[in-house]
Amino acid sequence: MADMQALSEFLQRGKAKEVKELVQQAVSEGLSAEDILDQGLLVGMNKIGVKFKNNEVFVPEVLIAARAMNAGMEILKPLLAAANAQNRGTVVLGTVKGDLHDIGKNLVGMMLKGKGLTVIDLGTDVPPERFVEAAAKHSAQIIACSALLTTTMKEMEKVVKAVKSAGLDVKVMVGGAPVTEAFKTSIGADFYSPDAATASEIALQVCRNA
Amino acid sequence: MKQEAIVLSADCKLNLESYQRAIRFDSLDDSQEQALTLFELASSRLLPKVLLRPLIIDTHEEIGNLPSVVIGSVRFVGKALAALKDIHRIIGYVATCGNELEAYDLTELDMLAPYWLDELKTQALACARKKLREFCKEQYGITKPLSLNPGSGNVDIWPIEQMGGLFELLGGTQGIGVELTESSLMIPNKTISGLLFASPLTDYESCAYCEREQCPNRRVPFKERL
Repeated sequence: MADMQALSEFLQRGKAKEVKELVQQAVSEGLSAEDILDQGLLVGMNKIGVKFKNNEVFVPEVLIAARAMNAGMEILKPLLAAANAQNRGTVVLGTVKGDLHDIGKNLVGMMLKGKGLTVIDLGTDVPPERFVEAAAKHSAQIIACSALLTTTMKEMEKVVKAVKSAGLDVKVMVGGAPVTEAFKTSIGADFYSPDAATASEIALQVCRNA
Repeated sequence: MKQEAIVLSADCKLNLESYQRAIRFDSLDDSQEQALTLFELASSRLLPKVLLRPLIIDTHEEIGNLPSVVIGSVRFVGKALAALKDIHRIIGYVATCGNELEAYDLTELDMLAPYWLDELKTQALACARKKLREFCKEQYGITKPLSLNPGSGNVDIWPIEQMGGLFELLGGTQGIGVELTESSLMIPNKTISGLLFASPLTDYESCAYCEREQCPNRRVPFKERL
């Protein structure tokens, strides 16, 4: 029987090949894609996220873990798509204007896809109006903005204002290294997420409630 | 007398061992060959460069309670400019890893290839920075250079929007392949710019005024006031 704890541990160590093999084994044994994701891959990613927050591991470890998760997701993606024939929701994702950092954003994107959400990834250096246009075009339930710099996190307030002035019924979630709950409140955003795993939980919840 | 801009090419030998350590090479299994290929490619193509120009500060003023300097036709305003009090000669510069791989298509490679390339570009930028420091030491006798960088630190320190003024003073950066985006970001991303100077009166370090205290790249402790 495929061991979900071992899957989580291989993922945390960035062992993509082993993750792929174990996911394949679990699928062959009849485990649902959702269970493999929730009990193995996401558990591993959540743990690596906590370790990162506690400075026990650094960006390269998070990246190789994400790479291992991706290897598992390649097998699960078509199965998840088949199981969730109906889209669970749409998230517009991007790094705010003035900021080219994308590691955190890409991790969030991967976790969102893992939750069965459709992700419209606008990339980096995204002006507020592009977030709004994309949210309207794709009927998104949530906009997720990332920023790494104290100089660029202020752009998030412009995204919140642009959403309000466009009259869009879409929530705004903010995150990134310098961002805090207090900052979220001060700019009037709807949600703050301290890490990629939490961001995906929040987004799924928002989409379910929409 | 107005001095012309100078372009320097930096010799650079990328370090394989430190690259492998940084990208956790041992964990890459079947992608190790790709990571090595990218190293070879970057080693043969990346050409780190520096553009610099000695400048004279014409005026020191205060604009709306903020320190300001005027250099030629360009005015800079921001808290950081206080560090230039009593300074008249500065060196404007842009140092870059080189743009030779900006258009290189990584889409067929491992999902981490962009980060591997970033690591290599970081090494190349370090070569450019070293070249800049060596040149300033040899030519201008600056042994302990200090640097003010637009956009570094909190937004009121020296707003990034003033990057355009610095580029204007340097007379254009096309020669070293650096472009400014609409948001005043520099492309290639591994590029630095600023005003370099020497002063026995200040130990200015832009990093000290950034509120992100847990930053992994923090060089000095946070200071509340300039």
